[in-house]
Amino acid sequence: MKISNIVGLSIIALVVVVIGTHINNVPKLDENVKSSWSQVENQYKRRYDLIPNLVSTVKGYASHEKETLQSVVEARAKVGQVNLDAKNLSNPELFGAFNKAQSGLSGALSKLMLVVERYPDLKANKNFMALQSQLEGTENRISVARRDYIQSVKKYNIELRTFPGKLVASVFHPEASVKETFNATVEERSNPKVKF
Amino acid sequence: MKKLLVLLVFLFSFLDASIDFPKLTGQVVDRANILNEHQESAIANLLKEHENKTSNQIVVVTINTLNGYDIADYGYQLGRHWGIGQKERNNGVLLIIAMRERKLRIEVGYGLEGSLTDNISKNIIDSKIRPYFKKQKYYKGISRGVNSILESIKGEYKTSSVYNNNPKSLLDVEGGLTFTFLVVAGFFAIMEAMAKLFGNIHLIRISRAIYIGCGAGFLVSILGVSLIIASIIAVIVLFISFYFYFMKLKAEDFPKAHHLAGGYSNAGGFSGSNFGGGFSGGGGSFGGGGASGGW
Repeated sequence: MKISNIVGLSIIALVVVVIGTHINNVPKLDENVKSSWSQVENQYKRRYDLIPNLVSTVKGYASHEKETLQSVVEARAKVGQVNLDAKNLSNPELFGAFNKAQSGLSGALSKLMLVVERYPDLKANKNFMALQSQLEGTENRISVARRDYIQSVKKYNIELRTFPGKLVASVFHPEASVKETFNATVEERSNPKVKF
Repeated sequence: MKKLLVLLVFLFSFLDASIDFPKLTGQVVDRANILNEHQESAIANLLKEHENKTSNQIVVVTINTLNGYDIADYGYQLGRHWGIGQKERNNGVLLIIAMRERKLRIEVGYGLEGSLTDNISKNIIDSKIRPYFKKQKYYKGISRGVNSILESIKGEYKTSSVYNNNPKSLLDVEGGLTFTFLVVAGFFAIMEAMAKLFGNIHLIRISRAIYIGCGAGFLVSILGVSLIIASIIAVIVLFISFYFYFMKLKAEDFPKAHHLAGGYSNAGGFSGSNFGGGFSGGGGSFGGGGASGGW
């Protein structure tokens, strides 16, 4: 066996190994992105569903805050108009619209929760307290789901953008394209590194 | 040579593990030392008994400080890190108490969010735990809180014969890649055997280099290293052993070579779980459910 044969064989072997280790990555990571996106959608939906109850409870105690309540209702309506299917995650316009509508609602809600601080009767209301804890929990779940989504998209995009995944993907998964992600808030950008 | 490679595998396996959470030493991890031994074991026994009956895992954690992290952030990451709850049920609960910040949180795994809702968690914190914590009666508060948690989740699951408490199965971690390594390694192992039959020394060397490379890739990927790092290691080991076999070995050195190959599989020993106290997480996950409070 000549040295050129050996080199040739080892190159083939290397190519086999590289393709073998990367060929399933794009579909696998794509599934991860999809499932983490459905979590994001679920949690946003959960918040969306909580709002009517919240608004009507607050209305009973804080009827002066019409404007704030109105802006929550409007922001919610906007969210209802924008749906983003997992298929369209590579579309920057749709993704931007979705994100904008959701952060509009986040803003309106946090303003409302500030306003209610002025109404001690409302804050002592059992129904309101339950809604408040649900809303807090939902916001927390949203931030977890967003962070998981950011992480899964990061993995997916790295696979598509770096060698050798890029090469393998361009041959075997030409339709795959880089996905949009949230602009991470400072908290979301880094995983906490906790030391004791 | 062998030592070098083992060291290499070892070094890479640590690159990923940068978050340094407290160690899971049992059902009660009292890092802030607010419980005495007797109180600790009383709570731990209660939780153990509950786990045996229902498979729900509940862990009480006390820490000195959150180091600037939000307790909700800290909570779900710690829950995932430990894998509290059974893998297929995600039925874990953490009661986290941070002394310096005077914050506490009930972190609820996906599978128990239905019975231990955010609202119930909030109520437990506000009405059962907080009044005692304000008077610095920590044991009383924790024990009342734990009892209320158990009360609300006791009907959710039953221990069944199906559920097993094994730690993560080997092939679960990055399953696809691990599997690919194994297949490629196996393929070239067969190839090597065939080459031996035909007495083609170069093919033997190449096949062996490849299957050792992939074997190394397989080993590091079951250690839980990321895809990219595992691939890099596989290629590095492949080339090192390639070089090794071509430059250093003659055909009659085969027994020695086998010894080398055997050396790799010992490296698999690192993957063994090392939780103390016979208690470990079942692989459950968390999604931010629960409630936080302070005192």
